[in-house]
Amino acid sequence: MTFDLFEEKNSIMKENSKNDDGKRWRRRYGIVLISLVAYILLFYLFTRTFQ
Amino acid sequence: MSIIDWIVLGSFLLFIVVYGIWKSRGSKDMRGYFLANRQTPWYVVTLSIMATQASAITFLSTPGQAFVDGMRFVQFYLGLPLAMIVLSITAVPIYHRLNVYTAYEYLESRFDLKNRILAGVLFLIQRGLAAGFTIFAPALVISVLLGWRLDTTIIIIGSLVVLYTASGGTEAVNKTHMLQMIVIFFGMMVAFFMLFNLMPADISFFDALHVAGKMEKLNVIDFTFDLSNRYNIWSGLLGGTFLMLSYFGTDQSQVQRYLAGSSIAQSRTALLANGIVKIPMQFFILFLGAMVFVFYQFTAPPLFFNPVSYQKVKEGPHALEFIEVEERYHESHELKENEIESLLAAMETDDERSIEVHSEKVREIEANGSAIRAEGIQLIKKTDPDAETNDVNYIFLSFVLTFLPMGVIGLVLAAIISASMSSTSAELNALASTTVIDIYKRLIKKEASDRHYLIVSKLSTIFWGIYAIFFALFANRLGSLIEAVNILGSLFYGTILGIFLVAFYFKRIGGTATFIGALLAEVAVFYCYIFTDISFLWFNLIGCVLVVVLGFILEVFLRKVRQA
Repeated sequence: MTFDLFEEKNSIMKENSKNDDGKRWRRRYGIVLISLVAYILLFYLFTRTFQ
Repeated sequence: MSIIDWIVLGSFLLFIVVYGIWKSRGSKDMRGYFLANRQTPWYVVTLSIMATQASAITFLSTPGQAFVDGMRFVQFYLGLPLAMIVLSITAVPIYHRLNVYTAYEYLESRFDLKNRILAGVLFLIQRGLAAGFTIFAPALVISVLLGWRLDTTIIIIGSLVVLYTASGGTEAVNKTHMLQMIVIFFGMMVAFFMLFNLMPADISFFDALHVAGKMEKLNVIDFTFDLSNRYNIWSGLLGGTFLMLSYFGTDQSQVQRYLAGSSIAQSRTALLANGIVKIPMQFFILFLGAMVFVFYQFTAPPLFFNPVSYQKVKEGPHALEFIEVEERYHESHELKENEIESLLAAMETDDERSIEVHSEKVREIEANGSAIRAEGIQLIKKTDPDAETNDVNYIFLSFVLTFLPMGVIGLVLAAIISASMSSTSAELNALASTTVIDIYKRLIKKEASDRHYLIVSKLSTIFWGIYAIFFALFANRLGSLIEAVNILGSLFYGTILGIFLVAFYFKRIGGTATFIGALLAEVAVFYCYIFTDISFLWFNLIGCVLVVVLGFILEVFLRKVRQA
């Protein structure tokens, strides 16, 4: 093994949770999740409206 | 097809090949050839990811799917954004920091060589056959509808792809993907606007929506939990996430796309953008199909959309019976058209009771029409027992060829052939990288010059291209091919995902336990396939779970043996 991959993964996670870069990415993941919820809501309204 | 359509189609195909070769000239080593020197911006990677996933059959069959079954298929993609987030957090930074060329290379860093080779070989078997099918399926539909020779269509599409993929590698694939996606979007948009132009003058956009809705074609979301119902929100969110994780996280044809990103941030952004854009895109394609359905409520559709089968039955021993069925089908259509007019009139006056009565009546006539159609399909089957009774793939293109004006036909055909080429080029590119990086460079010739590996990479792309074309040429004689390829994929996909799942999330399980677990899982999957009636879709789950469980048990056992 070139280096401990799990340590590497954990350090990436820790890095992300601490610094500004991590905050930025969490915001982006949040945007994707909100989009998913918005799609589901819009699809629901669309289905109900034209039923 | 008119001369203008030929000019549009021919010049686009030629331009794609020349553009691909020209834009990627100067690829002098493997890093350039397989990773595009890791300089690709996120938006190119996003379009490339989308182009890889969207094969021609997506554009041929998705509108047909909405025509027959409504828009509920879009729920299949609801797990995609979740999978994109998980992969952005885990797979992307690890692959980038390890500086790998293929996903399987990572398995050697995490486990050992044998796991890497096992996953690589399973991928080559599965994707190698799928590449043939990616060329064959659209070529079959195009050749049937346009009367082109199937073998010529396959050879032309296949050779064009091989030409620029072998010449320019990943950079050519990514750059042409961008162009192909633009043509696909543009072609679909033009088809959509032309479709509304062809609707009767007194039918507004909202009338069309109401007609589709009353006939249960706009059923986008279904909250009921039912295991036998293939598409509902739960199967989309749970099963869809699982499927998308395995496809985007372990399939080299996708991994190679985001490995070309210029940084972790660029690759992540590309995946997240894909997670946001893909769902509306699928919605739009399905919506197009629902509107084709509405169009055919005011224009009599053919009883069967595959012209070859249609012609055969009309010239065969059951011709008279078929003509009688066809007449009944058209009568039923006329009845339905009148009833829809009454329904729209009732909607205008907002008469709830009348709307309900006419909606019910329309659905009743529609069900009756479907039953008459089924009788016709029985006659097609009687005339030719080998005839394909599912015409979903022919509906959209048949509409395009019959009703759209010249020039637009060439554009839509260019979009469909583009989609076929984009998926095939990504597959050939991934097959070549796995062959060279995981097999040739690792096992056969460890030390050689970059120039040597570059030549081998190009030859490998050509080899897989010829293999795919060869398989596509003979595919027609292999019977029910779609099912065969799907079964073959399901036989291996679960095991590959299981290996990656252990690699990412189960630190305590080592290489030997995972390898033996994977082999045993593969044997179990084959056992299920040969000796049980379990549906092949379940093989993905069985293979994956078995690798994890057996890996865990074997690891405990091996530790005890080592301690003893």
